[in-house]
Amino acid sequence: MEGPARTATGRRGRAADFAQRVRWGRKGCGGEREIGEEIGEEIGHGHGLGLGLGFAMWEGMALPLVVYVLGKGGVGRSTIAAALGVACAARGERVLVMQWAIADALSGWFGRSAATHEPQAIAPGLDTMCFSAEESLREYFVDHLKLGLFYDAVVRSRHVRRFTRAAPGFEELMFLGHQMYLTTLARDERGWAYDRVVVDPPALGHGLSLFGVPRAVATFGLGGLLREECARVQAMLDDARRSAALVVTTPEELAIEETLELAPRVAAELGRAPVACVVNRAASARLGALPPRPSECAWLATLGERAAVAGCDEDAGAVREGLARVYVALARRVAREAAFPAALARSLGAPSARGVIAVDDGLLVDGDGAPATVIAQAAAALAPLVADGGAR
Amino acid sequence: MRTRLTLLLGGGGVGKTTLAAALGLALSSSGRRVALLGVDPARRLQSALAVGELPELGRALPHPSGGELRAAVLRPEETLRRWVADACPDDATRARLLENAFFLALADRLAAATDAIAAARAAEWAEREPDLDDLVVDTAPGLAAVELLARPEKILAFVDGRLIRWIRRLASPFGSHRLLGRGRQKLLDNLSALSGADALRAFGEFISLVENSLDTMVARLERARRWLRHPSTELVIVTAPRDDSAAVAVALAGAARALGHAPRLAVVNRALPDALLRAAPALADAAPTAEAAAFARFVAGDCRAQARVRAALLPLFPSVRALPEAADLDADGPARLAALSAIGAQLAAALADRALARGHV
Repeated sequence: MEGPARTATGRRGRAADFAQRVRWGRKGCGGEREIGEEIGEEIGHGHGLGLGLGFAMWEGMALPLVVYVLGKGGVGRSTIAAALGVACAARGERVLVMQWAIADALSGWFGRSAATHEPQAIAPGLDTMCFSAEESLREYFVDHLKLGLFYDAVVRSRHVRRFTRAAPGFEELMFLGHQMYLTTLARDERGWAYDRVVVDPPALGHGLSLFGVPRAVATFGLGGLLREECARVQAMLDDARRSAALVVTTPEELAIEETLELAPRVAAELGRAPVACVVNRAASARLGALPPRPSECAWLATLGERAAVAGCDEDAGAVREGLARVYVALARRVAREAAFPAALARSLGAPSARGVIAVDDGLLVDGDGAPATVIAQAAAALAPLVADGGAR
Repeated sequence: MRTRLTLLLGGGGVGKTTLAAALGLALSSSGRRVALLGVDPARRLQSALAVGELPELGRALPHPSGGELRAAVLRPEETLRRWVADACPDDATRARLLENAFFLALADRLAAATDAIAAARAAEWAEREPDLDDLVVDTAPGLAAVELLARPEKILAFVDGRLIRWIRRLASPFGSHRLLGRGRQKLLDNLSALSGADALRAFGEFISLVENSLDTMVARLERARRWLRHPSTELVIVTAPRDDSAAVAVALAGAARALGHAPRLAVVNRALPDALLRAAPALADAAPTAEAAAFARFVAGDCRAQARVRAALLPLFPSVRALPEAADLDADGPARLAALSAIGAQLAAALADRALARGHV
């Protein structure tokens, strides 16, 4: 059956009634207190994680419920998010990879048609969805608040919709709120029980400002439901047992540069260091140290000669030149890869580099290069991160 | 619109910024007056051009062949503050606005609206310098860049909405709730329940305060919207010879088309030479060591990817061009600028071909 993992469904009564919330004003209806505590208990007992540990990348840690996979565009964020999902599912967890993108990248890799806002199964134990702010808004009002009429009459009205689409931060808040919903209320309301939500938000600039959104919205002097929503989302982000950031980079120059800026900014916005940094498309494990100049590499000359013999004479020069170009780029990647952990530690003000995980470039590995293979290989590299105790 | 607009779109790290700088250099070398606008927050345009900090308003660059090239990097917060300062009638209003919580949040959190600011900024540039021949815009990486095409409508909808007008009235000293009529009053009551009445009032005040600057921005967004739809405007989709960036290119083309734009040119940047593509399949057998074998796999994989990328793009674009990596881009000073300009000339030629193909010269 396609669809999210289900457990014995038990509706814990209706979610708070709107009118009551309004009457009770800022105190809400008293439901907020339990949510945080329930989560603490669930994580504390259900997953056997110790509480009160130092949950920083540098101390070795366990992954929390919600993992945000951050990084600049083109570093393979979605691949790593999928691989993390596969690695968690391989341990028997029920996992949701939540994307926020124009097009669902994951389902196709697993041979499925594109997912919508509704989670769909793409592998055993692994679901994915493609976040839609509008659907999320509908769920919030209709499924959660049971305010179908209000939703139809007010929220869906053209004018309000225009407002919610354009208001800065609103869609981001809905996005964060959805992770909170998925890991708390949806358990009761929809019978969903995910052990892990891997979040694949949009690229760097956007992905980063995401964590600042509830705080920014809070400065609007809001009251009412939105204020409660912000507070709950902020509580989720503040809690190291419930959320963490994982940073993805590649050994490309720009990616490294931006990751060294991104990691400390994430640490500042979230109040703690990223849980790990994945270096995707790593080359050093397969190629070893490469001398910087093509002329200094013995095997490259041999390769060039043999390839040139195979082709025709006019091509020989172009082939050698092409090989040299690929070589130079790879030699630089290998050098950057070697220097990266120490540079990352410096950028985070940490004493030493830990929590850096290399995922080999799929092209360097003997295999068919299909997305599923690449994801499986990446999942194997990420296995230490999801094992109890986390990255060491 | 006299000025020709060229936007470069594509995934991260495909070399959009380098190509934008290259195109700017090449066009200005041929005697055109060119402006370059970098939207990428990483300020790569500065490093691509090997110049220091570019001011928000832009500045003329020293040009290797005496051409006219100006460049600016978008700083949405600074731009917005400048527009607001321009539009505020007096210092007191400006001071009040700069303290408004919504304005602070908006100025702080413009990440989401960067593309709208970019569109309005582009229109402003053409307005201030009507003699410009070309404006080249290097967009932010990834699919989000199509927001630049979509946002004008989104932002217009936002400030034009009737809801906003009601909220504006709420904040005005004479606009009591009673004037709104019962249905609207109910709507506002419900919104108050959602967000609190104080927030609505603060928002209303914010809207009234920024009214003047919004009007200017709306006018510019309208102009940008028309400009983006003008036949002389080119959307160039840039990809690396890799599947992931090609997927972004395909999605960008689809998203742009859904918004009524038709990108005509796709560029496969840093393409490998055809000779290597032909030799690649035999490489693995020629590898003397394990490292060489891994390297040969990598090269063969790169070559296969390049062929796949080409095949994926060909049905979607009237023109797909491969641009080789310039050998001298790592050099400093004049050699680098010359290498950039040479690449830019190839891109300009590809664009000119497109213009000829549809009868626009």
